Amino acid sequence: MRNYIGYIIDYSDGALTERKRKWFELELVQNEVLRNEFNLFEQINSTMRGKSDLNEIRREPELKEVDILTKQMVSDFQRNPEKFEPAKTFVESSLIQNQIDLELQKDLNLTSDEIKKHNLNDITKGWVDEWNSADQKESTETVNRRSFINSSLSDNIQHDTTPTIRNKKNLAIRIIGFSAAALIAALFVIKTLAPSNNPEDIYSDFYKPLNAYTSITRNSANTVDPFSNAVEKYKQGQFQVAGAMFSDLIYEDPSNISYRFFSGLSQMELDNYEQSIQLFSEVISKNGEFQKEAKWYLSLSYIKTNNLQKASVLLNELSQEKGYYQSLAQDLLERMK
Amino acid sequence: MIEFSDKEIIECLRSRQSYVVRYLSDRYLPMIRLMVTQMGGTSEDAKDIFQDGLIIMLEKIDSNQFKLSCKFKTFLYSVCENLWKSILEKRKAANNYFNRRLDQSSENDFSEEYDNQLYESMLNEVFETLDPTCKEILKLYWQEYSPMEIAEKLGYTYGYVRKKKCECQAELLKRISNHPSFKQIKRTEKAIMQIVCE
Repeated sequence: MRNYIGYIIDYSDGALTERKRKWFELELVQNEVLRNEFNLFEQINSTMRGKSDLNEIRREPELKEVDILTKQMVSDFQRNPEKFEPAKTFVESSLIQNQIDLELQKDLNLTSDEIKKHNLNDITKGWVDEWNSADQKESTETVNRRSFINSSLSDNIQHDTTPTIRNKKNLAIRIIGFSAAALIAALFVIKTLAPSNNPEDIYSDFYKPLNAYTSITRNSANTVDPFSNAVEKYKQGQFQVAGAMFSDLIYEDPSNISYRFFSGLSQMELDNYEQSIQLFSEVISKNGEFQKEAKWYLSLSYIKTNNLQKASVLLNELSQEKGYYQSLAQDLLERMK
Repeated sequence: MIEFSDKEIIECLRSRQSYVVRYLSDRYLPMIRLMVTQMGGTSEDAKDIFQDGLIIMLEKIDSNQFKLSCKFKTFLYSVCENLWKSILEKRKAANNYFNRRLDQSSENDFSEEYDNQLYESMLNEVFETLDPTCKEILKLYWQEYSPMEIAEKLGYTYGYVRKKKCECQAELLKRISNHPSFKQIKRTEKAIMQIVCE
């Protein structure tokens, strides 16, 4: 039996190279012995870390003082639960992703055990070998099957007909603007009906979710790239899940602008404008990708929160910059007058 | 794991950055779990207490009445401990109803409670059998010291600490896997899984 302990320790310390990390994660899914050993290792570390924290806290001289205050806090929580509802919603939705990950891992482990139990690896390997050794020229049946699968998927996914493995960092995010015709029609309707200057009305007339698509990418373990996955959730209108996923991605890579931008979009959909304002502001301050998009959605967030002054500054900037948002910003400024 | 300062934690909570909640869960749930299980609760109780404790903290942070007079983790611990004590008191106070309920649930919870205690005492026992250098290094590692900091603190070279830490962790894992109490816990888990799955 292979000795994995060195890999387990290095994986836990984040010391494996990208290639070895991917290999190790695949092994974790497929190898029950390794999984058990890894889980025990993690359990030992988390228990001992918890114990170390407990010892430290219980020795702290401030603990007694804090104790009086926190007793009042707990009693307030128990007497006025409705006061804590907004905090509850946020904490629960933030922790939901952890639960999803755990469920996903459980599913993966069960699937892997089933594969082993029914010896599916040998069977499916035979199928793949057969597929690979077949004549390159596809039969009519294969073409029909491919066409059926592609057309079934095309509603949701923009994809290549040949599977490719791409690096996450090379992920090309392309943004499709709103349909010009639809927009012109919408503006026409807005103008003819002599719209109100109420920020709520302006917002609802101009705001539309971003129509974005990603090339769905799979890594060597054939799992969908987490960013593409999160964008898919956003597209499907699962904003709570998308928001949690983008937030996770930011945690993993705080310097990535795309994660912040899409996180801001998700927060707008969840009516968390304070958060979207912060995220878009961060994107703009980095001076990288999504500058114009972030300015546009930031100005809408400001309008929604009745901060018309700040919105005007951004829209004036956008109206000077050539591109898709120039005329939109001019129209919006006109509407705000 | 990326570490956050107390100030960053509070700022991130104020601006509703979900990742900080998950960081707090990864970082401090083990501590709350230990506290709750040492005081007769289960892992599920600990999760609920941790979540409610965070909600209480968040509400206070939002209300601007909050001033951090000590470490964030001490505050969180204190909220969770008081919350758990209040729940234990409520359970005690609601005599008839809860007695019946606890009687019914105690059969289900007993094995987990027993295993938690067994697991904790086994871990302590095995840890004490390691050589003194191992114990020193691992204690600091669990206090979130990096190998470089451990080397500086204990006067070893960085390379020695890295190598020794791996050896100690491997040894600890091996001794626990071979411990009779661990095998007993695994047997209980297996038996429970069989009952649940059948």
